[in-house]
Amino acid sequence: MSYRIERIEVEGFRGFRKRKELKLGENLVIVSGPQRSGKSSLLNAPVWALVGSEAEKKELGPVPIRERVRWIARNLETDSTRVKILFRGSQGEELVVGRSDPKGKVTVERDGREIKKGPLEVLGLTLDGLVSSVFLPQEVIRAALSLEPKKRQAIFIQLAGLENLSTLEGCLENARKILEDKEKKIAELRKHVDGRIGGQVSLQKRRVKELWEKVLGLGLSEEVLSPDGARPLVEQSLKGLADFCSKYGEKMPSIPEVRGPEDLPQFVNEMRGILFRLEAESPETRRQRDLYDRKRKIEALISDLEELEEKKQKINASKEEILKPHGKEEELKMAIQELEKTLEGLDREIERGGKYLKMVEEALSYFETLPQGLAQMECPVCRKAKVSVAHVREHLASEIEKAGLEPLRNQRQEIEKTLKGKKAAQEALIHLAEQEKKLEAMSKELLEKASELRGREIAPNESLGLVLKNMAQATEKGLEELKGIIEARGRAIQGVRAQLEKLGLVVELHREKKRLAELDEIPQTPQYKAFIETEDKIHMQIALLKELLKGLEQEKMEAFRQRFADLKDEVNDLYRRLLGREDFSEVWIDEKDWEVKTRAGDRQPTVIQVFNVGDMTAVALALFLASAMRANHQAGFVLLDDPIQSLDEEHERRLAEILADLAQKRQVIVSCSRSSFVEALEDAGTVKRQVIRLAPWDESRTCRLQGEERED
Amino acid sequence: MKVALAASKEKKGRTDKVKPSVLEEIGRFRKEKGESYAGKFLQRLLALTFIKAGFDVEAEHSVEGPDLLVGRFQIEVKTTTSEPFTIEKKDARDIRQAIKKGKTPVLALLECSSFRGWTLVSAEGLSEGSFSRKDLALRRISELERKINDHFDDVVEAWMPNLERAPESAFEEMDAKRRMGQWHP
Repeated sequence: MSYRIERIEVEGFRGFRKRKELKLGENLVIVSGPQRSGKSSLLNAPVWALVGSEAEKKELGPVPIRERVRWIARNLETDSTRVKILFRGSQGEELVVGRSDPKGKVTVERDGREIKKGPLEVLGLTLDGLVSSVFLPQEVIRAALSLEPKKRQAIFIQLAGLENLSTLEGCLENARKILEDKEKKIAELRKHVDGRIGGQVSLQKRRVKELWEKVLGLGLSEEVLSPDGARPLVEQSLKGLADFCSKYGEKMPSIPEVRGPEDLPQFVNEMRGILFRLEAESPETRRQRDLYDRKRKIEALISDLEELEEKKQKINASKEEILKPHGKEEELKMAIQELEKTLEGLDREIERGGKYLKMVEEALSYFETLPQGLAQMECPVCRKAKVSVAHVREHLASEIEKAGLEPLRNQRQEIEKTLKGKKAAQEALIHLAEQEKKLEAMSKELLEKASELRGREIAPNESLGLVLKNMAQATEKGLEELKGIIEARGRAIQGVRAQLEKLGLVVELHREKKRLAELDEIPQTPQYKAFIETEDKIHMQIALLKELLKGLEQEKMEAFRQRFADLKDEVNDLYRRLLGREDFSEVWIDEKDWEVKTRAGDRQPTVIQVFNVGDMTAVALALFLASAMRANHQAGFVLLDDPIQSLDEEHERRLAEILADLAQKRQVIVSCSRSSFVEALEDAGTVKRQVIRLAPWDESRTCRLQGEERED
Repeated sequence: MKVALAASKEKKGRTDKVKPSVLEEIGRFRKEKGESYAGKFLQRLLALTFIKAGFDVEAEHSVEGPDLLVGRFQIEVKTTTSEPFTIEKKDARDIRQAIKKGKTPVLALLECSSFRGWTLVSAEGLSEGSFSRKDLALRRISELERKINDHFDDVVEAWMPNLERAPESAFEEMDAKRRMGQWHP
């Protein structure tokens, strides 16, 4: 099945601002028109419909196109672009590919039903395949011969129809890169883990070494680490303990049996506990503890007693100070009673004077109510005539005050002050008495405590201070006597402990060696093994991929040779028909450096070295057209955008003949601005042809057909 | 690649990797004595390991000729601190000669910073250059590797005290033992 282009619809695409629909009815379609008339826009429309934004990149497939940098599909005066291509299959099927922008929507319909396949996929094409055998833009024609080797190789591989092998190679290469990234990470992790384990091992070995030195320093031999090597040390420790118990009358404690090195830690721990208890719990130690307790209590009592005496002395001194101005306590009491009595008498006198004054006041108030004549009286005090009642009241009150009340009040004030002082002294004495009482209670309590500590009552005639002093001396003596006994016992325990500590060191050495052995086991753990296995697996996969890639490369080269051996005749047939040079008899692709070479006698130069631009165009066209004739995809059309660059009229005619032949097999859509080539195409071969003539670009700013009226 | 191996006399089933403490000792020995000096010892220890694993070591050369001849294997020994391993001109020549003589050329590789132990790979077709473990992954002779790594720790642990005390006489003694088909000091 192969598809040909039957209709092109464009709107807002490149030079076609307005909507345009073109029917392509024949096998040879010649698109002619002057510069800027829209020939390339028309040929690019099916390409854009098929590959979309890929057509706007600076590389079209493997070919870098300088002119494609920042290429814009949309007409600059429109907001959207729409292209629809109708392909007709060899059995009459209809395939419609539509693409629009800015929505970027692409639709593929087969016989009116939308299908979920990409447009290239439907035609059995890849992007690279499109560039190498379907669409030959003017910028690419010679570029294929002068690109850098890797790009040239890519183009020639496409020309050979081996893009699937290249894709596979790309996938494998990609997989290898991913695996190598993983491998790098795992290797780093492993190195880190190995480093950490190595560091721990070094540390542990140093610990073991230090312990060994200590063990050997104690006069022990390496044998202590053998299964039965520590037995003599166990026995020595047990014997020391038994001797001690026998000497000090202690009962021999029960100790777990040592059957092997694994029992040693428990044995050492038990023994340490026993020795601690023997040291802490002997009768002498207990007695010593009691005596220290007694000593502390006696010292506390002595301190309390001293404090009590001091307080008593302070109270007596205060009493003396208070009574100094008042005589004895009894005299103070009597003086207070006397003063209170005097104060009572004075209060009575003052009250009487007050009453008399009140009577005068009432009399004068009465006079005030009498008729006016009585107001013309003489003052009985100052003898002034015709004074008012108020005048008389004032003078009489003043005289009464002077006569007795004021001295009485002054006297009372004095007495009251004296009484207050004496009462304050009395209250201070009462407070001191209360304190004395408390001290007495404390003194009694102290006596009771001392009696209890002494074990018998302290008689009233005994001095508490002296008793406590004697008790302290006796305790001190007791402690002195115990010290020697306890020290001797401690030395005995220390002897046993020293034996045990040797064993403890051996136990520690055992433990550290065990830890070292555990570290040695880490590489054997399932986790570490899994880690290494993963790394090995990745190594294996990478190596396999490398082998595969190597094989694929060989396969690709072999296939390429095979394919170009098949194509070589066709390429050279086209080359001779197009160029007709006798001096350079043939061309071929040398896969060592991916150069296109030619033969000149014994010499094999590259075409770039010896050909002019026109000849190189002819070689590139020969390669492309040979490939297009052989292509096995379903795109039954070839798009040639202005292929005659640098070809003269004779070569134009030759190319026209070749294209007319090619159009017998495939639909050929070719654009050109030169009339001589259009005429050559119109005359060449017998194939049916269609000429689309485009009008020159004008103020309407949209491409259109010649003779078509401007819409504006 | 199919490799027929001599049967191992002992079966321990413990290790197929080097103990970290053994590796630490090797590392210390290399640091103290220098890489190439220590390399000779490691080669000799490997020869004894082959004996312990039940192989017959026909020859061991420290200067000229292949490093080890073990049955039909001709072994070139390479020890490094870490990857890659370098195959020099002389090694490549020995590999070619081994094939001519009908021997199987083998590279025995020890990366002294990894607990993987010895990596034994077929050297057939290898030419001079630097190789990482992943480059050689498809060439590994796993069964032989396991047999060697099973015994290497024991051999090192047995000889290391002697090597530390008097390396030169230990070196001679190791050779004497090898000639007698024994591995233990």
